[in-house]
Amino acid sequence: MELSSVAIEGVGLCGDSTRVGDRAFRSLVQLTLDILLKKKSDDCLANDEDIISVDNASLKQGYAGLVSLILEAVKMDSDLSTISSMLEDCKWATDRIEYFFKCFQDCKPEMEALLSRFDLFAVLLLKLTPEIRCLDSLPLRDYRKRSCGKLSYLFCIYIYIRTGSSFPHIVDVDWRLDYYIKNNQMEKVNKPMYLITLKTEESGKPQGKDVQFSCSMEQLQDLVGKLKDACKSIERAAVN
Amino acid sequence: MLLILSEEQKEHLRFLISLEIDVILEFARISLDFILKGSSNLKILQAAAQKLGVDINIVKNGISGLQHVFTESSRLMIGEIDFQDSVMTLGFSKEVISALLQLYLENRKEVRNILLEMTLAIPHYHELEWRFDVELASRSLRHQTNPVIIMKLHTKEGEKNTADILQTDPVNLIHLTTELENAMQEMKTAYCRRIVRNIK
Repeated sequence: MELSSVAIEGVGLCGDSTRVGDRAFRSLVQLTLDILLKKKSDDCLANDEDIISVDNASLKQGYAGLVSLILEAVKMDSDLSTISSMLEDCKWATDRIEYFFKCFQDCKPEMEALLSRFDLFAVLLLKLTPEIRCLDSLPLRDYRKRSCGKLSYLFCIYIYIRTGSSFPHIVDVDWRLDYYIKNNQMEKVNKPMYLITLKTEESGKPQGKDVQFSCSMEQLQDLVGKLKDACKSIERAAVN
Repeated sequence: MLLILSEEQKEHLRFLISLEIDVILEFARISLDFILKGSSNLKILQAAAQKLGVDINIVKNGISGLQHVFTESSRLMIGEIDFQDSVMTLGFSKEVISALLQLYLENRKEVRNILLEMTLAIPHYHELEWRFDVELASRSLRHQTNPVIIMKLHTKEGEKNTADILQTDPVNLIHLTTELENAMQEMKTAYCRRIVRNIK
């Protein structure tokens, strides 16, 4: 794990009990994680009564150091011993390291989800109670429909702050079955016709575009056949 | 249902009655050719006019009269007996009528396909290609194992082809597949079958 010298200095400041007192340290760690997870905005740093004791310059550099440390640790999936040796180099006391680890590990799955594109399922499965866990086989849309409180909050993050590059992600499908009877050129067409809309979501956009097309029975059979092939090959890959 | 022709069209077709059966059938073949290929070749018309010793416009009108008979009958899906009766009113002989009927039945499906292409076009499914990837790392997060299905959906709108690149995850893929399978099954339900039976 590598941090810039400015960031290391900042992390060092957080460990320095003359600049950042114990209570301020605890609040700072908790608030930094909350801000990174978009649960709070960064104004809360200025308003916290414990943090008020820290001078502004140290707070700014310390906060920046902590942010770099957390993001880098999540990004590289660093193990605790690596982080620990780094924090010891920055002269953190053992109780501060332990407190940091406790908060960090609670938030890590959510952080990973934020940094990845769409593996929120994994996070939910790790974190949620068994009643909600039974939803794990549901597609994203149904999750959102049935979710409440923290869950829906997580999905807000998922949809609006999804990072990384990706193609429009299919999350649902609408279909409609028509019986095509005639048109201005021709009588007695009499064929079933499907109108299919694929609902998508895209990173950085509140609303994905819909992909709409029509198909005849034979074409739908072809499409479903191909999708089934894809499902099968994924099942095989999962078994291996 | 009988074919309804205007007086003008009947007039155009009347010229054909006087001709020999082979010539009439040649005319019919030419007119079907024009419908299927979508162009009228002036040279053929000129050659025919010269051979018969008549004005080219008469030949042209005869051909377009026959074209009208074939497209209208195909459009309305006129049955064998109705077709024979409609042509009979024009004054053709029995042999000509049965030969025209044969031509009509042989080409009806293709003519209808052409008519179907001419109707309003909405994007139509054409092809789906898919690929299964596992995302391993990205700029913001290393050490991932993220299954991703990338799909390229080809659609056609008239002559215009479009391809959309989309992706999804396994859970959504299974959802998509089952949902579309349900759509397919819906056509087999008693309700849909009853409606289809009653629309003739």
